[in-house]
Amino acid sequence: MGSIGANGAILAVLGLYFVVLVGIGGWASRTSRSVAGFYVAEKKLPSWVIAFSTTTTGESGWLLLGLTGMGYMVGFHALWVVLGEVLGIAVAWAFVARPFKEFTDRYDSITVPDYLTDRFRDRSHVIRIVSAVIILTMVGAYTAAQLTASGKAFSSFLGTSYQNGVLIGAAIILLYTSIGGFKAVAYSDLVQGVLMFACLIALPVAGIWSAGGWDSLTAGIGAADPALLRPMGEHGFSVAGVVSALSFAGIGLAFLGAPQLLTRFMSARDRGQILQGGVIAVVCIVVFDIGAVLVGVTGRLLFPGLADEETVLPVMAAELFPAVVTGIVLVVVLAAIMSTVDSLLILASSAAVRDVVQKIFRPNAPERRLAMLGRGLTLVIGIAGLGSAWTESRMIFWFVLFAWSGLASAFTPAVLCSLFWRRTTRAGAIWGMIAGFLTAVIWALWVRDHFYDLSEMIPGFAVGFAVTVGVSLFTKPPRDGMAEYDDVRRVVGGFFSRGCGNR
Amino acid sequence: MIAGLPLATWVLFVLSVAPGLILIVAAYRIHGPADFPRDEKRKTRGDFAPGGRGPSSNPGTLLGTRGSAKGTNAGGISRSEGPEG
Repeated sequence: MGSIGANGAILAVLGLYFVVLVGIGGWASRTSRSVAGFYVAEKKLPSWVIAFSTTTTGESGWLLLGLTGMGYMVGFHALWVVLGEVLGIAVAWAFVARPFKEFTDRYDSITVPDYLTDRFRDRSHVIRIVSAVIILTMVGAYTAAQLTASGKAFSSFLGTSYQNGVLIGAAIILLYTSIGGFKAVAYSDLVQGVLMFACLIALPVAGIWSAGGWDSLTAGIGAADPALLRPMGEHGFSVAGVVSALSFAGIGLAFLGAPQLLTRFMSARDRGQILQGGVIAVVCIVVFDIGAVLVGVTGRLLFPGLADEETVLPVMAAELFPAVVTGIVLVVVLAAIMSTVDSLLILASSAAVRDVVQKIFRPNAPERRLAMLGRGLTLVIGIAGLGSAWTESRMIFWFVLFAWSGLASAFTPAVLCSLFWRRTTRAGAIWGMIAGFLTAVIWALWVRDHFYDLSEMIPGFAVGFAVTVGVSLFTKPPRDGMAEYDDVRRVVGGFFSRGCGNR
Repeated sequence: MIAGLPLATWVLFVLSVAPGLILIVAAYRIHGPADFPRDEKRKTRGDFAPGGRGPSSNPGTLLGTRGSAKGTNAGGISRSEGPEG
């Protein structure tokens, strides 16, 4: 796609972007020499950074290639994804983030397993080991899905081979993530989020303009397939239609407890930053998701019959804009991919270094050596994801959701119960994590196809919550943990009641 | 049909956006007074200031004034610290 001159312009924009990223990595490396510096930027991030970082980490190449492709395939039925994600993010920031921040500040936690271990007084380290296994397994799949998106993006924009696209994306991400740690990741997420925001306003507007305006767009789509205009899609109000809508809306549940997102709340400077960040995050996700669905819908009219629906955004950018703008859009796609992969690498590296090496085997190891180990592990995990993405180009939308659901089903029930139910016990949390994780994986691999294609997120959550609550009812919570829970609730308040704000 | 889309699709559009926005703004209004420093509220005559980041003159609400549950609080942070970058 594109001439040598056009490819030159795209490469020039790409080169400039990579220089900025590596520059951020170098700048951030000054504060990433300790474990807390490398993994949570010493808990000093302002609202803008955590808001964009959380949203871009949650969205990824899935948003720009996966959700646009889904909009292309099912039309306005994809708005159910928007509903789930906007509600999920709003509830996470409004109700989950504040008590989570308060607890993690009291414990000096820098990872989610850190928090769960201290919350449930787990001296046996079972929570850390279970968490590390789940995180490392799912991050491998998640990273591979994002590198798949990188391969598709490079081959669509520049005509490179899929494998070369995977390789280039992996090389850049590994370079700046291993240099700068979490601070580099968070600030590069901010840059990447601003680019995504601009792109997801500009592309749908240009698409609707090219289609001859809104009325022409809806008339053209309706003529092609009236089901694309309906909220329940091709199935209508049938069991299959309702299950499909629930599966789409259920994607947003993961925002309530996925560890890569909770880490952002931990790294905020204080609770005031979280309130401000929530407003920014919700506005961002509204623009991101509606923009992506509209790109898919307009693409269906402008470029019907694409062999791979998930290339609609690159095709649209290349056909509607000059080469420099196409280069910027490629950067935006890569930004979305990178903003997620870098966060996942940091998450996996923290699970291994902080939760296993530092807390179990080498509590007295020097901070600098552990941070160096974190950099090394970041490289190793990234290379493992590269190996998985190399051989096969899968459908990004569902591949990402598999890993997304596995992580969220394992952690969300335990985290939410720990924050909102004082009777939650250590055994309840551990068995809830294991049950939620296994249910999501088993459902995705063997049950889903026989059950109206219901997303693994919903059974994963249901079983995770049921087991956490059930086991907790038959075991005894730590007494001082309950008193501490009451104190945190007094400080942060309830859902709609104001807390006292201090201890 | 309204502007080319069925009414139900417009309803889904509104449901996708409105509840989330209302929820986060409500949380901001309810919890803001406790989470933002008092000086910021004074500036805006009793209403807390959006985007405000306060000075360190609010003893008792500051992370840096707390000890942790384990008594270490290595990550203790004072609000007097400036923004990053």
